[in-house]
Amino acid sequence: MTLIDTMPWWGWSSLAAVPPAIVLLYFLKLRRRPVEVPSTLLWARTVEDLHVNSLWQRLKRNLLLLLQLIFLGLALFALLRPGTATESSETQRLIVLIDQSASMNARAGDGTRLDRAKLRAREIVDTMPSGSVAMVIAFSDRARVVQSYTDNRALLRRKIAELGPTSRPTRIADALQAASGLANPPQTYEEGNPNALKLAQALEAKLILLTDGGWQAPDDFALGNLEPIYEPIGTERPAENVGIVAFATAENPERSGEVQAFAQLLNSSPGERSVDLRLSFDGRVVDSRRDVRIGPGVTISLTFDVPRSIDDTVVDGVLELAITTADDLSDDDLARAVFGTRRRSRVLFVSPGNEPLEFAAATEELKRFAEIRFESPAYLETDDYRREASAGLLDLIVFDRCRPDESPAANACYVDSLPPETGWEFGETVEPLVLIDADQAHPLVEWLQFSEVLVAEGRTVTAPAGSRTLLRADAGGVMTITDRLGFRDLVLGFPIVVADDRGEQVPNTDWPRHPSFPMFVQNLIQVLGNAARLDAAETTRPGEPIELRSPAAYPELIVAGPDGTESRVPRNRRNGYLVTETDRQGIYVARGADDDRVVRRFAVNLTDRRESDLTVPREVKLGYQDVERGTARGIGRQEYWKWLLLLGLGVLAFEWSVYRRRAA
Amino acid sequence: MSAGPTEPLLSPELLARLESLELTTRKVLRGRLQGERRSRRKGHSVEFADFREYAPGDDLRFLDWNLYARLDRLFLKLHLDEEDLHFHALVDCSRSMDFGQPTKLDFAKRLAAALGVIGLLRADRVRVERLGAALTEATPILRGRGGMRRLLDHIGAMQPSDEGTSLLEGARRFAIRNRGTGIVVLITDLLDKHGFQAGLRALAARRVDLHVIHVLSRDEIEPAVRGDLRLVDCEDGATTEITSTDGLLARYRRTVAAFLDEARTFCAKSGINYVSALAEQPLEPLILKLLRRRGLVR
Repeated sequence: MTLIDTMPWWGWSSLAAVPPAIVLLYFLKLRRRPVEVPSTLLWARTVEDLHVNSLWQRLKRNLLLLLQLIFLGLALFALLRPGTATESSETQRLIVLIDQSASMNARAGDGTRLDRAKLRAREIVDTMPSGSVAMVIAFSDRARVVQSYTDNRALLRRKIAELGPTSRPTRIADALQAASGLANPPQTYEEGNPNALKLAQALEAKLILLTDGGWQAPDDFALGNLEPIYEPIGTERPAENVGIVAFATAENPERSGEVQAFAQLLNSSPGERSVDLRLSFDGRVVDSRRDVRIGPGVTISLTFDVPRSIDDTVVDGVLELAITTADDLSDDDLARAVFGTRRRSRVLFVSPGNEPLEFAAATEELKRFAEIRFESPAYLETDDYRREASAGLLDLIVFDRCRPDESPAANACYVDSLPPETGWEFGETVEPLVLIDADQAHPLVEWLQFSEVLVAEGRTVTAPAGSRTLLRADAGGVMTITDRLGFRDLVLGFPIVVADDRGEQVPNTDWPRHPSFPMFVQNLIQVLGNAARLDAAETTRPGEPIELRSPAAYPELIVAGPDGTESRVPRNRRNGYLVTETDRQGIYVARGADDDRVVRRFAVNLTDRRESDLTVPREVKLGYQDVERGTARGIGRQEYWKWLLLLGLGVLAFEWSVYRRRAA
Repeated sequence: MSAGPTEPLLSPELLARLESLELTTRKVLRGRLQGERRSRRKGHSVEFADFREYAPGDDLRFLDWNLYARLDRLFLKLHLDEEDLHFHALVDCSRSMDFGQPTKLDFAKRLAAALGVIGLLRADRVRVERLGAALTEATPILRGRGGMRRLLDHIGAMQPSDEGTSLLEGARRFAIRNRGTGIVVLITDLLDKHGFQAGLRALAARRVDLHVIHVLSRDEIEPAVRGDLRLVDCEDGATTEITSTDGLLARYRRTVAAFLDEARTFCAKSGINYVSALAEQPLEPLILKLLRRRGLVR
């Protein structure tokens, strides 16, 4: 049996004054009924020996007072929060990991799972043996050491109380890393050297996981000196939840001008659930489904057709899908997508003349999302080019059989020429070049067939380390891509056309006659031109960064979150704006810092299968070790104050009935 | 709670029963007047008892002249003396007696009246007085049937009073007023803060046949009090605070039993006839059975 000091000294001392006060009040209020008797002789004799201490006799003989004191005693005892624990008296080192992810916002009892976890963390702090130290780490998709090792319980309690909910997904790796860093410090080791230096003393610690699961520890994580205790949160009852785990939009390939929205709904409840759905566009309801039945553990896919615009004009808007049936987790009942804010990418072709390329870049489809310009190599010498290239106003520059003096601040594609960077080399000229295969995993060349393409002559490309060969010929790689300080360079080892002696364009390959050529050009402009696919609405997850591009080169953007908080995002080298403060779900609006014009809007959606799945696992796997659910023994305890209060209430009721009987 | 004036102290039925009784005593008591009572003292009744030789100064009227003729010696014929009995009934009229239903005082008065009537019917000298009556207070000394009316009136007029409630003081006053011997019946509850022993001893020191009728009411033996009480003594106003519980009541009953036992033991040691009575009990069986058994009446 252990007690917890729940009050400061003055609280206890004022409470200690209550029992004497009750006794005093009892005697003050006690009105004895005067009764005349023939003689008090016999009565006096009767109580004579009881009168040795008449005060005590009165107390002893009074049931009401006794009951009141019993009640008070029980209440005071309950305040001490008695409980039992198999507690060792030795000091402990505790690391409390509190899950702060979106799934912890699920309802549990009166509050949320996070409230439960915080309560439990408080209990653990309250009940740790004196002299013990504890550390609190909160984790969602990142870990934060809320409080490092301390024995200051008040500080720990305050820090725990300050933890708030997030909408982020769960990743435990960082938290485990932080915990493990202290328990398993790195050591230098030298074979045969007895004086091998330990950098820090290894500190054994209890690792208490207050989580509802939904994460996976890295396989190579080793507990070492950590003794894990997994205390699942939210196990009182199976949670009822249907959540949107995916939400995407795309233009209807069959009917232009119509948008299709795709959603996936996961039911993580133990039984079948039916939900109502509402799809609205800019607050206007455009579709609704009633009684969508989803079996337990089943994911269903839904498609909505949204008439989006007349005569193919891009219309701004926010598409919002809502589950209107209430369940335990509301964070995943809403998903949004933004249209019409896609920017057109700007592409510059520098070429002495390349008819197939010009032809392939002139399709209507490409014109919709790219602004394409052709210049001759002489343009490279102009100041206009230098300004464009250095200011990052272009997304992609294609150098056809020419090269700039220095690399531009944009993605670049070199056709039969080499970037000015070192490390690039051409091999021997091969006639003919036989193309073998393409790297189907890369978006530039996926789905493209090169087996029938003939190339008259070409050279293999030797690239700096870290590059990736996209197209391989019998002699070696002929298309290679590599990263250059945030930009990408693509080098093609053979020209599409060559100039003959008269300056006429002569094809070097029949590639333009194959379907793969226009597709490659489109991929090039989409992937390296930073043009996302049409109508793939910009969306990201809570806490995950998103890079915005702006048509105008603002030095910084002002991004307003769904709750109105604004943050300033400076332009980075890649002419982009990396927004990192995306904690809240909803629509974010980015404005130019100069003219307050809306540049981009994007949506932050949870759409996370793991967060929507509220089932709490029986055990978790930490590295190679399975940790069953359990209570932090030695720090966990059975509390009795509720029972004491109930008993006290019973005593009070009994006291009342006794009083009523006497007063009657 | 005195009995109403309309209610007679003694019912006619009881009176009829009393006719057949007489007061007795085991002690030799000298009465002043000749009564209907055969005395152990040799005397002047017609009943012959013995002879004895004449001594100078004897009453010549009792010489047996026939014997003198035959034996030429003077013998005196001795007859059993018939004497009257002095009967005193002392009724404790302290306020503590004014309790119970009927009150202990009522009971005491009726008992005193019954015993007094028995005495009157047998021509005994009967005096019924309040215990602790002032020396100046007139109390009739009655004899014969004719005194019955006065006796009953006198007893009926007795009221509880605060005067001379101490048993010892009462005994002293009684001793001053009555020098003779006889039967003394003290009807009291013995609830004297100073103790009953001194008073009883003072009474018993007189050469009287002392009977103590110890009257308690049922309320005193089995009190029906509950709760937090302040008990006020009706005589001296002393208070005792109690919180009545079963335990306390049991303790009280033990105290009462000890008190009764103490009185009984004390009386037995002091040669006092002791009878305890309940105020609520009927008079007739008490007199006809209990007192007869104790030798007060026959």
